[in-house]
Amino acid sequence: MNEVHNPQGTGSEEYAVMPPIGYTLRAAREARGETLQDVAASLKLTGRQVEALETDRFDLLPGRAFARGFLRNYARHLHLDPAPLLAALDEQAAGDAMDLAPVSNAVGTMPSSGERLRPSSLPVALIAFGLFLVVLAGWYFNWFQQPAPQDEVVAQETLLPPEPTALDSPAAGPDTVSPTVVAGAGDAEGALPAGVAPSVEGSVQGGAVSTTPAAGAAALEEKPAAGAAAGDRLDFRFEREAWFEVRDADGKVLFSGTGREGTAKEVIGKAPFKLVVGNARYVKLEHNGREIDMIPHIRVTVARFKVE
Amino acid sequence: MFGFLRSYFSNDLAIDLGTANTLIYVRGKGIVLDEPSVVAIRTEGGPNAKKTIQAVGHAAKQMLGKTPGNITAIRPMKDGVIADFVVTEQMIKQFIKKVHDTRLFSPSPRIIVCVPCGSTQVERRAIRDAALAAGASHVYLIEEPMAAAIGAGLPVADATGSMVVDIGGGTTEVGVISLGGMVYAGSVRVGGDKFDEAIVNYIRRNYGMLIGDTTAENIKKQIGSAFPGSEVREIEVKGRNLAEGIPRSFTISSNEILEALAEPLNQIVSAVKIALEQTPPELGADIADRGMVLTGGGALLRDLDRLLMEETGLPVIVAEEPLTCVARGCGMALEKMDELGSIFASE
Repeated sequence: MNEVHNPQGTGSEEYAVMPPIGYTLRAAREARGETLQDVAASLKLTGRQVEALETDRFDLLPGRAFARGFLRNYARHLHLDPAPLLAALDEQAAGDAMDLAPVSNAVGTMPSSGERLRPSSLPVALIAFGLFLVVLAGWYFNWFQQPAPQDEVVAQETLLPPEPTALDSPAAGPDTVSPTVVAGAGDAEGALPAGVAPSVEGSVQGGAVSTTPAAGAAALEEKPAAGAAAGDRLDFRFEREAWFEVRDADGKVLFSGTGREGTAKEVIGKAPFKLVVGNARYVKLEHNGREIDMIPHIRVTVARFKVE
Repeated sequence: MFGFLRSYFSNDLAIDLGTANTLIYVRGKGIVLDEPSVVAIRTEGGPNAKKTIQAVGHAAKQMLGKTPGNITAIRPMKDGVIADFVVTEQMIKQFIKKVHDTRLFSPSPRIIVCVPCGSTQVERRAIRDAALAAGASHVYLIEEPMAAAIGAGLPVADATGSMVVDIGGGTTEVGVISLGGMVYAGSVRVGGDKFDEAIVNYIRRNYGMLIGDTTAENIKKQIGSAFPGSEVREIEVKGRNLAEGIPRSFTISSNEILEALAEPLNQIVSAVKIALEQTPPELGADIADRGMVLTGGGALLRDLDRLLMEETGLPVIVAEEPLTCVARGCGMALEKMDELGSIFASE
């Protein structure tokens, strides 16, 4: 660039090639009789920067925007038209794309206080979701429904009279005993199921047992034994709908509910029982086959009493 | 996730919501609108009396000071912030309507709006709300000096200090920027409007003549200067003689305007000096080497750079196309808004 230091050549209109920017500037400055220092003082630049402009060393200037600005100021100072000089500058140094984000050579976010104990909530969320699914599935498939403890309470509602199907049932027989025994839990397994298994209604889940006096000789014989081993038996017969509650010797509620009109209920547990029977006038009660008169215990309609 | 859909349905915008002019930059298209921030509202009488928007932008500016009783031409922005919320909202809406192609769905672009760095939280919230009410889906704010520096092509992301002085219609913003953020930001509520006001006051005081803001602006543009130059220029001005009450014409010179502008110019010079005082020394050294960059319409005032050069002893350069610097800077931020977080301002 700087080889075109030919004083006669400058300013000549025939020159197709633009003379270097620096040369134009210096020629104009010298024509005005100013020194580098004069220009530097006037434009508040350093001598080094003015020299860089005059020698086309635009890389020594702080950047493209500043180089263009300084060049424009200088041209204006010299009463030159800045446009062709700026165009020449653009040819020399193609504008590099501006970067708006600061230099970065690291990746990561700083932990904020309070989050340190809980590294990420994602695993926790996944586990929680998994548990929720398990609970949902359990509810759907009845995993959590506990079988009623057979040794304590056996309650079942049957319509009266219940017996017809039981005797004829092909299921009645010793074979069906064992599954029910398995289903029944606790110390009563040898005794109670024997009396229970033959009934058809006994197939109801959870060891619910029919009150049918059915099931053949063997079953009938064993019935008292069952009562002795498992506890005492209360038989309710409802002539009208009545609410009743039975507590055993430990005060545990064996049954609490409503008996519908024309039904019977059997409750087995440990005597003495504490009973509360609503609408007691229309309820017949038997304790181990012995009828109990509730009339003396009735206050208004409710009977509260003990059965030894 | 649905960015591609959004970009299909509506183009993101950057708005330089200035006191004097509003510029809109559309992503991928550049500056598509440059209009004065003026709205003319007509009040209709009769059975269905209502207020309608008569004109916005250039058309409305021509009505300024010449309206009959049923039309009011309003400049809803004052000192860089919203002075009339409803009118500003309507103005933005009208401008967005102008730049958006009419489509089946009404546009809901993401908008970057620049705010003066000295604006309060309430003022920023007002600008954000006005843009949201005008149909924006999201509004991001950027401080004017930052946008101006980006638009002027300064190396804002480098670890060097860059100083920018943006002289707008309502405010003058001084910012020192390094590593993509503002190190110092100062704002004085002096700008082109104050220059006009100073000229009106000077002429009333010294000539006993009353001129309008538009005339004052013309005088400023034609012969205004900030530093005594070798050539003295004159202009003929028409106004109303206060004593006679009759329109008269008179001639005023550039030296008189220089005298008239002395007060607001001094405030700008002080703001720059305060900024230099407050700048950390390392960045101050960079600024001493590079100088400061003037942007905004005020930078077009003749010899303002000379004034600042003489007052500070630092090199001063005027950015190229200073009027559109902020809008271009906003636009560049818009193009990269998804990657950049640090350049945006919070409320």
